[in-house]
This record gives sequence, C-alpha cells and structure tokens, in this order.
Amino acid sequence: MMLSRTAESFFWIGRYIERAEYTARFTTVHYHLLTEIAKWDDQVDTWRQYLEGTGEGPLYQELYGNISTHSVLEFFTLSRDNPNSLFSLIAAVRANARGIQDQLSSEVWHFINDFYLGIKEKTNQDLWSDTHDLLDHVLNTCYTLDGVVGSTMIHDEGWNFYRLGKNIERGGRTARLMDIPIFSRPIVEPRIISDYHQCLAVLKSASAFEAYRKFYSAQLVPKKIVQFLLFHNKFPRSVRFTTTLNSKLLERMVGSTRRSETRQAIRVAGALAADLEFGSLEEVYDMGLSDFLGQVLQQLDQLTNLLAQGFFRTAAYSPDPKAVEKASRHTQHQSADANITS
Amino acid sequence: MKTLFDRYLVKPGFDEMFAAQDVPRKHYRRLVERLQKFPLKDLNLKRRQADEAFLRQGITFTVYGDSQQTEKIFPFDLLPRIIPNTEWHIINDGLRQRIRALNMFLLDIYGPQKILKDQVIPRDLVESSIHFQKDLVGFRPPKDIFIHIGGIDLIRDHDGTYYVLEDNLRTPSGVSYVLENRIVMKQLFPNLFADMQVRPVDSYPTHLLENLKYLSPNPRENPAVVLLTPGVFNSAYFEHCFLSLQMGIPLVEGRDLVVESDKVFMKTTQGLEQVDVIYRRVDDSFLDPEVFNPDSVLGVPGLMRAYRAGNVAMANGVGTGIADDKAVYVYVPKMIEYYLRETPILNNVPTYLCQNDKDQDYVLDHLSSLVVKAVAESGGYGMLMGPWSTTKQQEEFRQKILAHPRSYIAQPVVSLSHHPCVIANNQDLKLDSRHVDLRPFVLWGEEISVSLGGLTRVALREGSLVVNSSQGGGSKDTWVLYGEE
Repeated sequence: MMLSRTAESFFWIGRYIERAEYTARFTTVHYHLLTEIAKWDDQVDTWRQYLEGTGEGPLYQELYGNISTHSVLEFFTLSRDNPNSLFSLIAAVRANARGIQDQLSSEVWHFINDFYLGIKEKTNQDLWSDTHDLLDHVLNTCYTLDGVVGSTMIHDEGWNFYRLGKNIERGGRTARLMDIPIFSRPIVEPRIISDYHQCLAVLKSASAFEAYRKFYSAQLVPKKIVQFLLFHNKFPRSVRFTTTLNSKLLERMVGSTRRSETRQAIRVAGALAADLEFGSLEEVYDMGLSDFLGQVLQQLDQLTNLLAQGFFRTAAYSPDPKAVEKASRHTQHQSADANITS
Repeated sequence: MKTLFDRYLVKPGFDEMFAAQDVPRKHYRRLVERLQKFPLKDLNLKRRQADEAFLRQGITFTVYGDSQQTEKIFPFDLLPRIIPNTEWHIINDGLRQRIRALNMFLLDIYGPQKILKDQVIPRDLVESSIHFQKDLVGFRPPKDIFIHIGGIDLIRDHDGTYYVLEDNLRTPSGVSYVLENRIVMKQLFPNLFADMQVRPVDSYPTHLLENLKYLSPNPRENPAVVLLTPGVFNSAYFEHCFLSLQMGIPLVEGRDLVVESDKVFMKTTQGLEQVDVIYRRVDDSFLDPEVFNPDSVLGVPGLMRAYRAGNVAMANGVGTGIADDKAVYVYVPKMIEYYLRETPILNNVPTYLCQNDKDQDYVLDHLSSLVVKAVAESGGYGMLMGPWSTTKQQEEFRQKILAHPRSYIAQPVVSLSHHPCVIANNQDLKLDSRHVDLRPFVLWGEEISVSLGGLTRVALREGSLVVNSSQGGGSKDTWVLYGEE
C-alpha cells in the first residue's frame, strides 16, 4: 500500500532522471561532433536539427532567437527558464524527492540533494570553462543515482513506479531520436559526412554505438540502426526492451488493482509490448517510420495518463499546485524561528 | 597554545557558563576543562563539518518572501548549553503544572465555562480571540486531551530566574533540531560526551507515537496514524519529514486525504485506507475548507465533521489557540491557582493588557521602552521593539493600539541570559556571548512527559535579543545532566 502522491512522485523522479540523462548525453554527443566541424553553417544546422528533434525549438526561439553554440548549451544545461534544462530537471527530481523524503532511503535523499546543490552552484563560467566536464558529471551522476536507488531502496511499489517512469521516458526518448529524415528515406548507405555524423550522433545519444558495433560491425546503415534501436531484445534502450519491461512491471501490480483504469493501463502496455515483440522492419517502413514512431509515443502518453487516473489519483479532488504553494507558505505555524524577545 | 577561553570576556547580565571572569559554573566545569585542550583550528573544521552535515541532509528552512525559495540551514553553535539536574527538575515540574492548567482551561472553555462564570477571566477576552472556536463549545476531545504537544518558551533574566515567555500550543516546531543537534554533536565530538553524564533526548519520537496511538478512537491493534503537513513549501517541512520517518508513519498532505461518511481515508495506489489519528501541522484555519477558510487547499473538506463525529483524533486538538493567545497568557498564573489550587512554579513575564484602560495608558506613555506584541500572531510578527524603534513606528503602534486594544499586549524588555558561542571573526574564531532562550517540548498521552532539555535558540547577532532564524538566529545542543556537575 502506498500513498497515491508518493507513487506519482516516484514515477516522475524516474522520468526526470532519465530525461536529464538523455539530455546530458545528447548534448555531449552533439557538442563533440561540432568540435570537428569547420563550417559555421553546419554548426547552426546541427543545433537546429537538434532543437527540432527534442521539440524544444519554439521555446528556444522565444528565449534566445538566434542559434549559437553558447546559447544552445546554456538552454539545455543551466537555463532557469527551460523546464527541460538539466538544472530544471534535477530541481524537479529534488522537489519530488523532498515531498516523499520520508519514503526514500537516506542515501537516495542525500545523493539527490547533493546533486541539486551541486548544479545549483554552477555558473555559465563553469559551463564555458569545461563544458565536457559539466555534462559528463551530470551523466555519471544520473547513472550512479540509478544504482543508489536500486541498491538501497526496498524493491516494492515505489521502486516499480520509479522504474516505470524511467522506462516510459527512455522508450520515448529512443523513439524520438530516430524520427529524423535520413532514417525515413530508404537510402542504403550514408554518403555525405553529415549523414554519417547524424547516424553516429543518434547511436551515441542512445549510448548504443558500442552495442550496435557488436552486432553490425562499424558500418552505419540507417535501416540497421533503426532495426537495432527499435527491436533489439537485449539492448536496454531499444524501444522493444522498454515496452516489454513496462508490461512486466505493470503485470506485477495486477494482483493489487481494483480499478478499471489500471486494468486498461495494463492492456495498453501489453499491446504496445506485443507490437514491438512481433513487429518487423518491413511493416514499420510500410506504415512509414515517422508515423510508427508517432504511434508509439502516443501510446506511451496514453499509458502515462492511465497511470495517473488509475494509481496516482484515486479521487478527482486535486487542488491547483500553485494555490497549495501559496497557502502552505502562509500557514502560520509556531516556528522555532520565532522571536524570543520580550 | 591558544585555547578557546583565553580571550573570552564575561559580559554583564546572566552568563550561563561563567559565574564570573574565568570562573565556570559548577555544571560547566568539566566541559570547560575538556575544551581548554581543544585547539581553535580544529574547532573551525568541526564547525564546517557541522554546516555541511546539515545542508547535505536538507535540514533547512525556507525563507518566506523570497522568490528564489532560498533554503537556509539553521546555524548550529558548537558549545552546548548545560542544565543541571535540580534546575531541570524545577523546569520539568513547572511545565507539567502549566500544561495541566492550560488543558483544564481548554476543557472548561469548550465545556461548562466555569472560569468565565466565576469571573476569573473576562468572558469577552476569550470570546473575542480569533483562535476561539465557538462552534466547538460542547465538544470533548478524545481522552480529554487538547494539548498533546506543547512548546513552552522560557527565558532567564539577569539573576538566572526562569520565566515563561510564551506558550505554543498549536503546532509548535523545533524538536527536530533538538534531535539532530544531538546527533551531529555526537558525530563531531564523540570523546566529549564520555563521563559528561548527559541524558539522552532520542526517546521523543517513540513517546510521541505512543501518545498518538493512545488517542485512536477506533479499537484496532495498530491504529493508522499520519502526520499532516502543509507541504514542501512550509518552512518547517524538514521537521515534518523527520518526525514521520522517526515514527514510521505516512507523511500526508491535505490532497492525500478524503472524507467519506464522516470517516477520514488516505488515497493509496490500492484504494482508500482509513485514518485513525492525525498529527496535524496545519493550522486550525486551514484544516477544513467546509468550516474554516473556504479557500484553503491545504486542508481536507469534511475533516471537522469526522473529528466531531469522533471517528478521527487530531493532535493538537482544534481550538487550542485560545490558550496561547498572548492576552490570555496573562491569566495563566490565575488558571493554575483556580484549577489546581497550586502556586505557579514558573512565573510569567510582567505583561500589560492594552484592553485595560490603566495598562493602556501606561503602555502608550512608555512605547519607547516596552515591547508591544500582537496577541494573535506568532513567529515574531507584528511586534514593536520599543528601545530600538523609530518615533514613526511608535506612532503606528499607538494608532493600532487605540484602534484595537484587545489585539495588543506589552512587556518590559527582559535582558535574556547569554551563553558563549563560537563566532567567526574574519578568518579567526573567537568566543563571544550571545543571548539564548529555551523551548522544551511537553508531550501528553497516558501521562505527561517533557523532552530532556529542549531547543536552545541563540541570537547570533551581537547584542540582539532576536533568535529568529531569518535574522541570524541559531541553536545549540542542550544537555540535561544526570547530576549537578
């Protein structure tokens, strides 16, 4: 038995951590690719594509306008205005963790708190002086955090929701990575250097480059990359791997559920897992890769909504979080901070 | 070798540690001996370690009115405050007596109102308090206990006599610092504790949980007890987490609870689970939007119905605010005489009620030397510190008092006792004395128990009498000894 709010926080901690991890890796990969690009136009193009791929283009446009490496890096790392910057994501992880501090192992709480306090102190100066170091630190801390959670928390409901959140995010991120033109066009082999780099960037962004090479040697063939990232049954970031795991995690909760929304969530997760387990690359291309990926993302969103209805809110009453914040500050309490003068 | 006390100058007033220059009080003698061998530079390191430990664990409070939502640590001073056994006995007895009388007052006010009929306390004083819940007259709380947790603020004047400055009977906070300060202190100075005869403080959460379970209106082997918090934005949120962890009970927010058929349930991933006892850290006025503040999103609609139906117990009881109203405070010694037929063991600070014409005249004539407080406020809001105020501020308060005499009291400035503290002085450290108070916590279940010691708060700013954490207040570990030294 677990408070619905606690379950929801576990879920979002998992999602935000995974998102931060992806963002850090994604940004590192592109940053490194760009160091070897000579032409300014290519640089801008790459960042533009990157921004579009993440769906953050409009917000970036609003905040910065022109594309420059400096601005893009800031936007994805330390920006306070981008809710999906590393800073914002880690702050969101921490805010969720703070709300369920009583349910976390003290190791996990201290780790998350340290993580937050560390990135809060970072300035643009730090970012420029060692971009790689900052991104690498975030990436490694995300990996380590997952280990701390797994090895110090009880593997009960909270852990299941944490993993569900992480997996749903992970599957979605991998799917989004593939939704770029060179994968949709049925070309056999990339010819120009920037295509090659795009393939490389996609694989590395999913930390799949080394794993891919084990199966297909160093040849970067778009179709094979799609095959690998969609269907591989042993690679933890393939879409199939994540959907299978989602379905398993949800089935574990079958015994404890009494609500129709939760049953429906299990059905949706099961159907998505079956699609990827029995699907083939031919079918995907018949349908169109972009459409197929869109469908996967849509089903993941649906799954998230069903989890919210089925597990996170057992009743409709859910006040506006802003109002809660305001009232909570104003609640007068007999604080130990009180004046003692007389 | 430079030692800690070489340059410490004992100031006028009551120094907790030293009876005179270089003469430590009996109960501090061992500590002073030990610390004399302690190099100053090591102390600096310990100090940093303490700060890091607090920050890392998130033992912080949120500064209100700051858009950055700055979280700060409550500064911790390394030198413990020591209370010898006999002195503690007096405090202990005094607090028990006071809490008993205050609880009887609440039972009476929300019951037969004998003390009003006998005109020991003016009826309009009680009925005009915003903390008086007149709808609850006739309601008896489970086990006849209103005050399950009380935080009583004590101060000492120039001769060391203890006085009660304030009773906090609604949602007093600070006990988590009592426990954490001790933990950090033991980590930093494990050797210091040997042979010091310090009594432990860590049984508080166990006592509290036992008391809460005792209140359960529903016959169950393991009553469901929860801690209700206003949420992460509340400045005492750390404490709410800390206590629920220590007691092993769920930490819930209003949105986690729902009332059906006058019973309280928490929403879980597996449906609704009934709640028997709520340790609430949400003020009365935010508890239930159906009854109190309709805009409250912190509370639970229907909670008061469940409470009145006797299906759920709440600690503290609803309506206790009338007993810690700063104007009602004036009458606590009379309550002790009236209900217990005893003489108060701990005295009040002399207080002028602006409602009384004679008192009001005096207050208005002496605004520049008195401290004026708004009766319904806590946390140091709505105060005038006479000697440090401008004529403009005094004029503002004059108008306020004339407009709402019931809302204000005044007290002479009590020069609080002071205690040596480790103060950073550029790169160097030095010892200097700072004013302190003491907030012991009183728990009431099957019986009354008092936390051993309590929270010693320090006004870390030189000369300041204000221990407010947003104004440079801090705290100290507080040691109650088994014996006299």
